[in-house]
Amino acid sequence: MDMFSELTDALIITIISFLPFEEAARTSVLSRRWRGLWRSTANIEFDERFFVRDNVPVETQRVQRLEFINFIRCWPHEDTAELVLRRFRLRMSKPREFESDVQMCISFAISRDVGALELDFSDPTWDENDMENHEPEFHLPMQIGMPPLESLTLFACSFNPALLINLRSLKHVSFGWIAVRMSTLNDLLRNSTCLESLRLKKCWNLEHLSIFERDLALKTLVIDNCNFHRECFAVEAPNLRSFKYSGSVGNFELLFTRHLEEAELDFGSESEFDESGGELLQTLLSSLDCARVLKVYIKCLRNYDHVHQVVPTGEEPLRMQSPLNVRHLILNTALHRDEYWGIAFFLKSCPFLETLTLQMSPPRIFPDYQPPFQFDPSRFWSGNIERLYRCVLRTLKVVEVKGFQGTVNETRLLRYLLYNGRAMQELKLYLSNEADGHGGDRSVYFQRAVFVMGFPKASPNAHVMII
Amino acid sequence: MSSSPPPSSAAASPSCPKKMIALRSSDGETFEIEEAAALQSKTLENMIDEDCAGTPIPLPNVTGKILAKVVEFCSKHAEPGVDDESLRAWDAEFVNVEQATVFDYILAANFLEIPTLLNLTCNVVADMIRGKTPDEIRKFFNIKSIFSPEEEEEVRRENHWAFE
Repeated sequence: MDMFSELTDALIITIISFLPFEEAARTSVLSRRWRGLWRSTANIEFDERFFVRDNVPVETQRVQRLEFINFIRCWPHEDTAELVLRRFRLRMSKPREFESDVQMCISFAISRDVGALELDFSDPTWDENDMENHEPEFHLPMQIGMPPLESLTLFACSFNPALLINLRSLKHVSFGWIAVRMSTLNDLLRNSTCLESLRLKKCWNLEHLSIFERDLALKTLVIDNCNFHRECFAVEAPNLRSFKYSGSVGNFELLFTRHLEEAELDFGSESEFDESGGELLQTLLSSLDCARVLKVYIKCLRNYDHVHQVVPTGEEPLRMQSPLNVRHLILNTALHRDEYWGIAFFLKSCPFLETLTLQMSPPRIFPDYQPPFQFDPSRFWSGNIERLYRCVLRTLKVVEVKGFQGTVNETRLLRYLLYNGRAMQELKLYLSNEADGHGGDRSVYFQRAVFVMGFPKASPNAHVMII
Repeated sequence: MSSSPPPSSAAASPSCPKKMIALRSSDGETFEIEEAAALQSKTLENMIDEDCAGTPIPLPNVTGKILAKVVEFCSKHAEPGVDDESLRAWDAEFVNVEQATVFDYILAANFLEIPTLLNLTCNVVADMIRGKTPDEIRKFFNIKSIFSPEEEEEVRRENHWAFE
């Protein structure tokens, strides 16, 4: 019996409304009954990129864009007039070419008491890694009858800060590719007392970041490659669970409590290194010391060879002054020898580490980099006494390598971990699907993984899985 | 839907027992539910207001087996002091049942107008649909496709962007 035969159309529409827009559209082909139901979905995504493809000539793209505009214009309004929209998302580049259609979309969403409004006018040609500030593509005018939004996303869309004053139910806010002033953020935090997540991506004009509202409900804070006038970050967020930062190293003064679960750091956009950066990094890491999961893009750490005072006797002091509580460390790394000191730094600083995940990434070479000591890379991970870190010996249970290719650097580190890891239970090798440019492919990586399986193991329980 | 404010009678003082509501399923079984829990259902809320003086409220659309679970759900969600994460975990366990039962929950939640249960169960079915091809979906739910090949082709063309 058809499981849906007892359900009303309205119930099927409720179910469809939990699907992403593209999947909802695909339900049209299930049966005659389903053909038109998806058009009443409460989760609408008008995304130019559903229609406009990357790999076609510009003329074809223009035609595809017109098809997209036509699709929006033909969207039914009348018979579903009762339906409240859970979410409305509009993503298109160069919105000024079709300004009235954009305004029509916004009015449509507002008239349906939308809960989550997302406007993304960023251009796919903009490079996320450059520091250029793009002028906003659209200005969101003050709207009459703006419903009590729970979620607001504005990319490349400027707005009147007064807009935020009446949006007291906001829980999730995401700004991208626009100028934002600290005063606007402070107003937002003061007004929207339920705010749970705040994301800033490629924003600029921020003087600095200072967040000190009392009893901040904020659980997630993401700062992604923003341009600050001064790199000073002072945040007091007692309920924060997740903190992600990518950009330049600055002065961090972070007051989080034991609720912090995960932290992610990426200073990879730094193009020159600064010797004081080491101390700033130490300060940042110690304020994250309660995080259980820490993800670091290791290539940045090659910049900071003075993370601790170098003692002339050659004793290796490179570690955090006080240990981190991290249980799960994720390193995005190429395992290039220039990264060894950074990796060692973390292994030494995380004495309670239980899971280590290595996400293999292509190497980024810094020609000016000088390692803190002269060393022989082939002997770095051999078992000399300095490399016997507490976590490796006592607590490390699971090691994962994502994108395993079996390079010399990978196997050296894995040999070291297996040889010394007395608590090891699992080594999971997720084979890379990409060719390495030297004739290597998945079958070659598989052979190398089998070779790793044969390495001597300190733990009788350790077993190697190839995935 | 907007949430209704709790009626003053719901605040039970320690000396007064909590008011219980009696429900009767389609197959004659009777269940008791605390008033605070019953108010999760708009249907029951309206019936309680009409004050049917203690006689069990008949629910001809819901069997005993399902009504028992619905009472359990409403009672759990009316409990004070449960944190978000444990409630989410409890909900996940609650819907970890066979397909037919999830659909029964949907119908009950719809009839009794319980938005939290309705959203939870509809999301579960959406999860079952997500990631499957149309053929896989039809097989999974036993949907009989009564499209002719030409009709199906027409629908695919109409929404071609979703199939590329």
